[in-house]
Amino acid sequence: MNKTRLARLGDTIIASVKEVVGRGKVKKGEVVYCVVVRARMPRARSDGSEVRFDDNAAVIINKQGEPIGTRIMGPVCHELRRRKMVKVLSLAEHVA
Amino acid sequence: MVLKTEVCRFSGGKIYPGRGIRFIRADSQVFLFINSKCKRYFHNRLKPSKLTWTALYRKQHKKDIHAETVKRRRKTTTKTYSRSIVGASLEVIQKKRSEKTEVRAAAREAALREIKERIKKTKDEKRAKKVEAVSKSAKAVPKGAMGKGAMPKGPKLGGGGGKR
Repeated sequence: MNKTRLARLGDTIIASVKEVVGRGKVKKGEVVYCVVVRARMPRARSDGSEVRFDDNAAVIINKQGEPIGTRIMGPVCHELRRRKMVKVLSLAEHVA
Repeated sequence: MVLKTEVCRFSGGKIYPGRGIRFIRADSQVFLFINSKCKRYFHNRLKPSKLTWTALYRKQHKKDIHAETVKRRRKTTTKTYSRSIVGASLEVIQKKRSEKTEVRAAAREAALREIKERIKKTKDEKRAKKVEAVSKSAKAVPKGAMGKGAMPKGPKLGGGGGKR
């Protein structure tokens, strides 16, 4: 992974599940891969502008980059297109 | 090169590419700010309509509107209708429009004169008829009884028919 150990928008991270809502595919305490889709930390865009979201959010994915879940809530960042996470983008309700 | 200037959501200023901060709220609403000043004010929940330097304030308090309205007035011109109406084809309308006032006045006078003459004529004719009728009835007194008898019969019959 990233040597600086800092995840930004669009980065893939390894996380452990702390809280589960309902009976999902993931259980509490599991170690999963996720991709950061929203971050409060501003990220520079190629045209020079900055993007920042209102909250921090990640989507749990498998090793191939496909989301485990069936729905994605809230907006999602553009950076995923560069990472070729097409499925995440298609499931998202809004790509910013 | 595509140069599209965006508009700052807070101040209304133009944002050239490479500048500005884009903030995406949780409800997927996108806010564009030209600088951190606008961004800060937005997050501190200040209202642009209350800050005199923003475009929203200027619009609300109707600044710079006089120049705009003057420009608009200059542009608007009355358009003359060039369509044919039922009863007057396009040529007729155009002809009438191109007539001069003197010609129109003369035409009006001529028309009036015609009408007056017509009225005169009819009046004269009526008078003549009356005179004739009176003279005829005066001449044909012996036959007048029959005539008179015949005359009232006409209307009576007509009246009878009408009653039916």
